[in-house]
Amino acid sequence: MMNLSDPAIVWFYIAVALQISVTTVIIPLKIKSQFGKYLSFYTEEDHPALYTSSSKVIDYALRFYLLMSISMAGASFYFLYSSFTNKQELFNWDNQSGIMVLFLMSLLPLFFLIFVNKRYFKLLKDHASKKRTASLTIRRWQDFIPKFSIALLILGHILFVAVNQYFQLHPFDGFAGYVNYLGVIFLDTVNVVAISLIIKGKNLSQVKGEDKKRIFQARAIKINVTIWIVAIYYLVIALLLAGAELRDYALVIQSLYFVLIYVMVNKLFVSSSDITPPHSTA
Amino acid sequence: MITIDMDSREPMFSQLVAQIKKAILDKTIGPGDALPSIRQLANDLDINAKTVAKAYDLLERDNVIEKKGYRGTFVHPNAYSNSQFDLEDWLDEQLASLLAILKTSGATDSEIRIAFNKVMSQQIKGK
Repeated sequence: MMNLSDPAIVWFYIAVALQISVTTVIIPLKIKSQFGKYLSFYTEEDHPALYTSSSKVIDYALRFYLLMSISMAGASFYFLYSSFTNKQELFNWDNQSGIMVLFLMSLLPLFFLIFVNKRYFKLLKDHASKKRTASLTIRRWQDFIPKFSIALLILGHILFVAVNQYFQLHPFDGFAGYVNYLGVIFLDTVNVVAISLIIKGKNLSQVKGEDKKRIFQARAIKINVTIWIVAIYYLVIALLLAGAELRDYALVIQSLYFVLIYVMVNKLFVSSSDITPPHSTA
Repeated sequence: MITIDMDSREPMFSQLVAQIKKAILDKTIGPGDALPSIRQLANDLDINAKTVAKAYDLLERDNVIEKKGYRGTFVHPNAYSNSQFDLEDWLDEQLASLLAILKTSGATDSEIRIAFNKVMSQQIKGK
């Protein structure tokens, strides 16, 4: 039974409600409206070259995406409501795992969008110009990642090692010890591989123009590095809160962390500065 | 920046060679400048890495670029003058003058072709 008068529990419910609202309602609505703007600014009649699929098919995919998101919102809020009224942990199971399940549920519509986007990119590739361009300058990771971000990453790692070593000497109940380093090594490996793949620029031949390719790469790397930085500091904060016996507040931080990850991932799809006044190409 | 035309009759590796030489003659890139790796260029152009490797091998043979092991590939110090030399034109000239000598001596076209193929196949076997 959870004590609903505990402020940490109240904050937990507020954070989870915010997580559900952002990931299954606010961002999906924003994505739908952003793509809707694209469709109305660059109409199929005026810009036929942009439409590798009819506007009706694109609109249908977007409506389906929004319907999926709203369904997930309904289900998620129902689970949250039943947890609150029954004074039980999420899914009658565990709050920490429950937040993870809600996050995965919110990702399902996004996976659908990624699948559609991948097909769209393949179509773009098939329709790409037969003239391909490339730059004769080498690309290095230093050109994409600012020194400030590298400094933040190094500092985050030093903090993590320091905090982990401290709790190694003064362990709390449930402390994983040196196993925590495996998690950080996994996190670092995933990010290094992802960034190096983006820098190599595979499958970017459908993006016309070297400058646009570089902008796309820079944006993808910036998002990746931001998620990496946030992840390492989240681990440090989670360890500190667990060590201070404030695990319920750690759940609040975890929920906020998922919201941030979701927002950053969605930045790959939409950016409010992308739409420029249309010029007819018909 | 280089551009490859996928519809062109010219093989992709020779388009690459010509484009890199053009960039050197235009002074877009100069002696000592680092060139992208074979994999990077192949990814950017969405072509096979072997095509880029072949172009780089030919450019290295002509002393237009130089490979420095793990450090990468760089523009050769004499790249500008070496890029002006066209091996294809030189071959055409050499063969034309040789053909003129052979024809003056009374050899027919088919005799020249047979002899040329014979020598070429012997050369290949000799390798």
